[in-house]
Amino acid sequence: MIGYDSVEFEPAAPVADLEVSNPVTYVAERGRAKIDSGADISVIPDAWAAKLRLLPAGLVEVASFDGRITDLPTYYVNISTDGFRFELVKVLSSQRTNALLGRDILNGFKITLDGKSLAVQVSDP
Amino acid sequence: MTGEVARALGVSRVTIVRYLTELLGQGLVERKHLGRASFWRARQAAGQASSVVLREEAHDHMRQLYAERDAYLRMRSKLLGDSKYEGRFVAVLKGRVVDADFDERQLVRRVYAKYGYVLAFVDKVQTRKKVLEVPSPELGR
Repeated sequence: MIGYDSVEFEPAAPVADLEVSNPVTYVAERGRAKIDSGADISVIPDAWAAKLRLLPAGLVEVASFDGRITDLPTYYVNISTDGFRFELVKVLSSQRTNALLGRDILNGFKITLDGKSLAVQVSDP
Repeated sequence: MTGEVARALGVSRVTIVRYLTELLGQGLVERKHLGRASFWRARQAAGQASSVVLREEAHDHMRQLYAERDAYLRMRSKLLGDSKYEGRFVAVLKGRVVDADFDERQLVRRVYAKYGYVLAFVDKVQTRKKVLEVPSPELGR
């Protein structure tokens, strides 16, 4: 499901249901991701990384909204959303309860955000 | 600020953090300021107990990751001058480059297929250093 969530987010935010899995064991975790066109890379909660027993595979410097730069480990995962599947996607993990879908994934789609009617249209033209 | 100093001096940011920690003490090292990876490295350098307890397994993973990253950094200038590696992604496992490819996914797929699900350090051999932006405020929560 892709749409706006006005319960968890205020103001309402576009979200997508997501399945993230370990690329080798295929152990999976499901949850919700905020569609975040400002994020260069997708992010999963630390709790998911721990449940999936992901192994870090790199380090990147990440600039936050306030310009602060931190080093964060990266992981490779498989991601499925709305019938689309992406293999070995490099993601970050952080102390969040939901995931972020960044432009690394979003740029593969045509996405229309209709804030007036809180609707999202996604297609792969 | 540590990132800017590191760039100006041409060393890694964790090196700057480590020296600052040694100079100024553990009080400087707060997870919310440094991020998980930097925090781990600074805690190692400071050698003191911390209020933040990382799971033992995660701790081992970070130690391994930094060991592989350090090995990569030691080889980096050689790799940059080698046409077999420059501009490609490389996988470093147990201190040596085990595979390289222009396609990051193909490289990771091969490494996991050949060695199993192991902790390998993957990076692109290039002079340009990239800082990713994730401006959502919740990232730091």
